Amino acid sequence: MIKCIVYLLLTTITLQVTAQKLYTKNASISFINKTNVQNINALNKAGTIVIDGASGAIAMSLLIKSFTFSKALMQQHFNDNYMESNTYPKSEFKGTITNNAAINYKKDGTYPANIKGQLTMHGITKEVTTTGTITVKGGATSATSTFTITLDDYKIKTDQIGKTATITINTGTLTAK
Amino acid sequence: MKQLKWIIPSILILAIAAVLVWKYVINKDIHNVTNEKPAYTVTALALLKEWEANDTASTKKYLEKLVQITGTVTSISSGDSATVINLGDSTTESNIVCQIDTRNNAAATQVKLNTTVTIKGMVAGANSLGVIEGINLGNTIELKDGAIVGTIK
Repeated sequence: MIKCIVYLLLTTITLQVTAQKLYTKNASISFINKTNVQNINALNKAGTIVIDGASGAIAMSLLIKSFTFSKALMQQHFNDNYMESNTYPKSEFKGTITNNAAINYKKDGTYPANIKGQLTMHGITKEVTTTGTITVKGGATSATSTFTITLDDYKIKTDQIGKTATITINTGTLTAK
Repeated sequence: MKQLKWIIPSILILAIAAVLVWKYVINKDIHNVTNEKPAYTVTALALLKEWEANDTASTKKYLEKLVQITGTVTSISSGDSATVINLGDSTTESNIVCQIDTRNNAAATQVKLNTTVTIKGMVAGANSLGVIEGINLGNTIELKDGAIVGTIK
């Protein structure tokens, strides 16, 4: 009998932990860089983001060539001159939500999240500390975050563009797995 | 002196022409693929299998090429800008993610979940995700500047 109860409890705990893993392959990542001539507005809606609700681990992976543009020349310069996407095709982030204990993924609410991790871009890895918001509504979870990076830190040429870029991430509704 | 009076207008005309060309080049829109012939026509599952079997060869073959793909819609995300259509299959964690060109959004919003559609788009590459935080996500083959082929019933 006791064995049965222990087994049931363990199964329940395992199921809960499993259910708290959330992911999307359609996260939206915008990249805005202000220049004197034209602002660079790039949008990638094919980002992959995984959040482990139990541990607070967070991971993101995206292809640089998946950034979309309205102007052809801007796309060419972004890929060839700045991000050098043939040599560095991916950008990745790996970190944690440091206040994860304060987020209840099973209760509706808007939770501020403190995020710390390593961002790899243009072949360079740097620490990034930012804030974000996790929204739980009717069982659906989504997350957003905006932060600014200095392009020099990632050895991206800035002779003809702005020194910084604003990155905005919106996961949309995350799928539980 | 007679020749000199032509120099200033000539320089002016050349300068105006140069500015116009420069403006045209920097403002040229991304090409709309709607009426363009694809370099390759494949099914979603065949493309996923081919890429999984040989990433290097597939990248060389498909990268930045216009590819037409037929497959089952596993999810659609719209929202504030471009519609994104995912094609996949229950037999694999891998899938195809196509960002539709906003100019072709009208047809894309008619697409229904679990139906078969044909889309075309420029291949941006494959993201070999594998296992992330304990979840097997397989590969994601990514297309952009996409369009729906044919009419959605």
